[in-house]
Amino acid sequence: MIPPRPDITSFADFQTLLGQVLHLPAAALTPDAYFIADLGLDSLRLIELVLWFHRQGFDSSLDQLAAVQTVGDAYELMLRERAES
Amino acid sequence: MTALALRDFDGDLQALARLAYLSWPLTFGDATYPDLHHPALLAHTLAEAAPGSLIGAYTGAELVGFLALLPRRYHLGEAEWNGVYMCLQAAHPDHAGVAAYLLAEAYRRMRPADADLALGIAHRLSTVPVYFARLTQMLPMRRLGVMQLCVRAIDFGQLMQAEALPGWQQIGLRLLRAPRLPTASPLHVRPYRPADLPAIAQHFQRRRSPRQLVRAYTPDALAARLHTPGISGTLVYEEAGSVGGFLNYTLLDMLNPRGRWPWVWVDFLGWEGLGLRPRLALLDGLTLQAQQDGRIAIAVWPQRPGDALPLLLRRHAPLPRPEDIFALPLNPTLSLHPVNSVFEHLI
Repeated sequence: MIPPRPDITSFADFQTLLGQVLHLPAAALTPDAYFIADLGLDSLRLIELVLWFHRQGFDSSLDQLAAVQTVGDAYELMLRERAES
Repeated sequence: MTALALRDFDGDLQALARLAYLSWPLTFGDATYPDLHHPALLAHTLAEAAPGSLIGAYTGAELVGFLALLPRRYHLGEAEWNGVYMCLQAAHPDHAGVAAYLLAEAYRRMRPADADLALGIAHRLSTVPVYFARLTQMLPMRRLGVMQLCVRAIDFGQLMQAEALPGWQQIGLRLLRAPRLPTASPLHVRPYRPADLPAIAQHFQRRRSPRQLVRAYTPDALAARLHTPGISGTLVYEEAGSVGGFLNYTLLDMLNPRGRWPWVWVDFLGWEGLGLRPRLALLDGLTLQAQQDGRIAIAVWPQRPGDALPLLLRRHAPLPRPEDIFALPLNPTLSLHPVNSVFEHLI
C-alpha cells in the first residue's frame, strides 16, 4: 500500500521533509548542496532517499538516482514525477 | 564543487588498482582482499566485458568509483538466461555514497540491455548486504545463499600473520593443521590439457539443475578459465583415460595492511562423479602444487554438501568471512525462488 504523498507546495516544504528523511537540518539542504560532497551521505542514506521516492509511488526512482546529485536535482525530479503521474 | 560523472570506464587499470587499494580495506577490514596491481589478472577478469559494461565514477578526471557488469549466460534447469555478473565494486573513501550511484547506473544500464538477471556477491561484514536488503523493499532482489570459505594452511605461520583471526579460530586451524603435506603427486592426477575441454564442458552441462544457476561458458571462455598461465589452472583426475573430475583454481595474491600473501582460490569443484579417494587425490595434487609454488593457503567455497567430507579430511577449516550471493531477476518470466546456489566463478 503506497502511503499518501505529502503535501509539498514549495521548496521549503521539500527541504523540511527531506531533512526528516535524511536526518539532516533543513537549513543545510540548499538547492546546490551535493548529497555526497557537501552533505556527506553514504550509500545507505542515499538508498533511503531512493526508497523515500519509491514510497511516494515514483517507480523510476532508482534509474533516476544517477542524475540526482544535489538537493535541487531531487526537488526537480519530484516535480517532474508528480507532473507525469 | 565538482559533480560526479558516471560514464564508461576509461580503461586505466592502474587507476582501478589504486582505487581498490583505497576502497577495499574499508570493506574487508582486517581480512585480505585480492591484489589488483596485476594487469594480467585484471585483463583476464575483465576479458568478457562488453561495451558499456564497465562503469567508472569520476570527479573531473579522477576515478572515484568502479563497477563491472560482466555479461554472462546461465543455465537454470534446461533454460538458458542472459545474466550480468556485478563485481569489483570500489568506491573512494572520500566519496562513500558513490556505491549507491554505481548501483543505480548499473540498474539503468541493465534494464534495456536484454539481461534476464543480475548476480553479485557481497562480503557479509560490509554494508553492501545491508543496502541490498533495503533495496528488496522496491526491487525483487533475492539472497540466494551464503558462501562459507574453507581454508587449508600450507604455511601455517604465514597464514596466521596474514589473517587477523580471533583466538578461537586460530586454535581451530591449529587443531586441524595437517601433520604433513603430500610429497609426491597422487596417481591419476595431472594438469589440464586442451584436449580435456569437451569433457569438462560436458561436466558443466551435467550440472544443470532447477535449483542451481550454472555458468554457461563459451568454449573460448571456458578454455581461458581452465588454463591461463600465471592466472588460472586446472587439475584433472583421469579415469580410464578420460576426465573423471577436475578442480579449477585461480592464483591470487591477497593484500591487507600487513602485507601481500600468495593464495590459491578454488573456483570449481567438478568432482560429482568421483568417490572419496579420487577427491582426496585432487586436493592432494593441488596442495602439492601450491606448496611448490610458495602459496601460503588454499581457499575453497564448498558448493554442495558432499564437498565437506573430503575438505575436512584434508584439513580445510571454515574461515569467518561469509559472502552473500544476491540475484535480481530482470525478466518477469524468470523465477529464482527454487535457486539456492550457483556454479560460477565468483569474483
